[in-house]
Amino acid sequence: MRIFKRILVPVIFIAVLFAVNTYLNYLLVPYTFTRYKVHKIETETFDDLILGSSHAGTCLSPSSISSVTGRSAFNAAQGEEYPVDSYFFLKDATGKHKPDRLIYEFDPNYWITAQDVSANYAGTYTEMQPGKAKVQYFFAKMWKADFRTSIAPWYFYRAQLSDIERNLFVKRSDDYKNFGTGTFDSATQTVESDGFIAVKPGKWDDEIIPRDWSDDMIQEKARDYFIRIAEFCRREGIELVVVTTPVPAETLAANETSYASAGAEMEALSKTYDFTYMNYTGGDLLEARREFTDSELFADWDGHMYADAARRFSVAFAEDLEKV
Amino acid sequence: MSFVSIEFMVFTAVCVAGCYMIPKKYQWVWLLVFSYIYYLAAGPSYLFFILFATTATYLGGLWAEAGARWAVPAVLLADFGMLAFIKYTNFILGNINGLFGTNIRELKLLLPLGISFYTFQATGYLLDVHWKRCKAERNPFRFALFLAFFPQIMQGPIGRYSRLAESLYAEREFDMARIERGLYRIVWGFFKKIVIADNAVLYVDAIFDNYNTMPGYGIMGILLYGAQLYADFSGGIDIVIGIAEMLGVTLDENFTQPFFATSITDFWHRWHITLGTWMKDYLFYPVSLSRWMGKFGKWCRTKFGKNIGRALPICLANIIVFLVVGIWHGPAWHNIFYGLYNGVIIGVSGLLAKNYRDWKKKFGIEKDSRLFYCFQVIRTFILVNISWYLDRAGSTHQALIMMRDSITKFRIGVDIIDASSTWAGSAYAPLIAALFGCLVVLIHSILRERKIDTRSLLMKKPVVIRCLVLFLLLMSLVVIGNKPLSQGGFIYANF
Amino acid sequence: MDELIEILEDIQPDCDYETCDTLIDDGILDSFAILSIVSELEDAYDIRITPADIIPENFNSAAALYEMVQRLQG
Repeated sequence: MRIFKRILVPVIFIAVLFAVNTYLNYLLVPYTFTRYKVHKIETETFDDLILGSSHAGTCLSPSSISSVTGRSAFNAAQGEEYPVDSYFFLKDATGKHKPDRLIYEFDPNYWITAQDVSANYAGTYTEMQPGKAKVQYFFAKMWKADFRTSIAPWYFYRAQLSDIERNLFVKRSDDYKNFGTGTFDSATQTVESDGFIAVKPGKWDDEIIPRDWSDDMIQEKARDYFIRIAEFCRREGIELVVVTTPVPAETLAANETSYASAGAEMEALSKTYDFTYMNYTGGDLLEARREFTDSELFADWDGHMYADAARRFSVAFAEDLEKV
Repeated sequence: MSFVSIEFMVFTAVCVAGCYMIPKKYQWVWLLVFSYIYYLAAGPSYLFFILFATTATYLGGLWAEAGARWAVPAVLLADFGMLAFIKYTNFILGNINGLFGTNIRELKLLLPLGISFYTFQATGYLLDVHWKRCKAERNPFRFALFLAFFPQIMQGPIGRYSRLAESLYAEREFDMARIERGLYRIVWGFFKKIVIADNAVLYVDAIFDNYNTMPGYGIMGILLYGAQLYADFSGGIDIVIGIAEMLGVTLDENFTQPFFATSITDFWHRWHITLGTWMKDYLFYPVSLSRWMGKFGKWCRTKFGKNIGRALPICLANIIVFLVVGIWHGPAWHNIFYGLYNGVIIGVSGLLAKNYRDWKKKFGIEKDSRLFYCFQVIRTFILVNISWYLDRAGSTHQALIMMRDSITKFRIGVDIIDASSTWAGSAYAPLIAALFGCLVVLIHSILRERKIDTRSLLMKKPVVIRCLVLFLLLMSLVVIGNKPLSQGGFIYANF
Repeated sequence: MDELIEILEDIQPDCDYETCDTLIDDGILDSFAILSIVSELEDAYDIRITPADIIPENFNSAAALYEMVQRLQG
């Protein structure tokens, strides 16, 4: 009885803590398309899976690509997705519904910066269903991170108290329960059912920030996880295609050497690990598709394309893809 | 292994739980194994340094006890030589290059985890054996645990063998109350670190990094730096002592309400205490009692008379000690001046001690006057804050410019940080959170200053109250704590 | 013993050295005072005090100090 009593208090305490934490997660963490994308790749099979940053998300329309290739495709790319996230995303997808081909978007900037601990840091991890990939993901990324990041993701949204009402409304709606995309429609963009992030007309921030790149700036972790992706694809018999999506000509001109050396780095890797690299920021493909570097096609200097242009680019991309 | 990581929490929980499940005879072995796992996790390349210090000092202790005269100086030289080589080679090379226009390449040296702290512990032990204050440890593995004990290796407190050995190697019983006490201490440490230090650092870094473009915020910056430094260091020590407490190990206290100090001397008796006492026992007294200092003292007495002649050597010894403290804080001139500043104030006030007593009599100040006490506390607080300009600034030049601008261009405000990048989307929120944290710590400090053991007080309360306090502290980490910083970690883990 | 107490009072007045036996433990003597005492004792009794002797047990009371002096003289 004494031992029971001794254990009872800590157990109740932890239970209360757990309950409060879960409820706050429910109240504060909004429904984002990460949940939608993770759910899709966990429950459906696609021939082509697109992973990468927001550039891939906004530049590559799976339905446009499918119209050329005749293969099913899904765009699971999202902002702040670093190579480590892509790797476990891919593992999670493969464990449930293996794709034939991975179209991986290489954004040089993600290779030379350490990931900020923000709401997206644990986003993909949080939405994943329990399983081997999630456990490995946990030890690769959450194990050494601040305990609040994975246990209490609501703390990224703690100041957004005014959003609680909307979150509750969304989370009680059928759209949420059925993993719909209805709530993602905003003034700047919408998310289509194939995962394509369709950017609406209107300029975002347009000041060019220098994009530095030199080989000694490469984060070991990013490179290491990219190589893991390449090796994983080979092991699993998944075809790997790496793409760097177009950026406005002005951005390219301002950062010529950065894009050139980043492209060279990936070019070298493509030879070592035997995959296709399609670079729209340099070389033949840039020459052939220069029409997609017109700054009028982009919402910002960084390379987020308007939906209409992105659809056209996706068709061109698919045609190039068929040729290799 | 970061203290805030899940990894460290699981590691600690397994270490504590396991410690009470294995046969008591092997408890210290368990601690040794975990200490080395912790150390290896920081980087296998660091292992060499701690093994070297452990082996050299262990053997040195045995030899010294056996009467080998060369053992103590030789091992001291080896231990300090290693520390100095790693910490100061590049500083010296840089100065040589600067002075003579040479271009000697600097070495790529990484500071091994905790090297200062285990070097201090090792050398202190050796001198204790030499002075026959303790017996040399015969078991090399037990000695290894003394140097590597995992919670304390990162930032102290600097332990003394004679006090630590007893509880480190003891056979311990599981005691729920002790675990609970330890837990409060740990969570309290996290509160200080995450709510105060991590919020305050936003403003401190902004002010010190942009002192050229946004001058005048110095006073705000230095006050917040004080809060940050105290919360960071003492919070880290709270976590260390709390974990050790759970493991049944009693560590020395490192802080006793330093902001209530009545003089700079008193401040150093309350701030980083284990460094202060180490310096006193192993540097200050040996220097003061050395033969050449004795000769200097005699010369002073013939030259300046009895009182000043007696005080001058002590002043000099103080200045030497604080010079070393300054250099230890980092090989840079502003740190050396930081040390000298403290040393000179302590030296001069020692020199004038008799005059102070006379003045107090003259002005009729009572010994226990409350007003005079307040005056002393505020005066010390100001003196300490001035010293922190030198401590925090990147150079002496910067410190001086900032001191000047603090007065001539005095400004205060939160627009120095980017509101949209803070956790609340407001430039005020982190400041308010940090100030709230300071208020809680102030109340706690007043209680402690009145000799009230706050944790014992809490332990007597009903379980609901205790749970509520713990709950609120934990929630405050998430609700008003700053988000993880890219330059995270504890300040004193870099020494 | 009287001479010793005189020395102490000269260095740090306002303390009852006849009875107090917590001079170190209560922080009545700081390191400045301790060293002043050491230097006076060395002169007055012609002894040499080393760092090994600077332990609280030797400095906590006038009696302890006296004992140390006699030990070092012997």
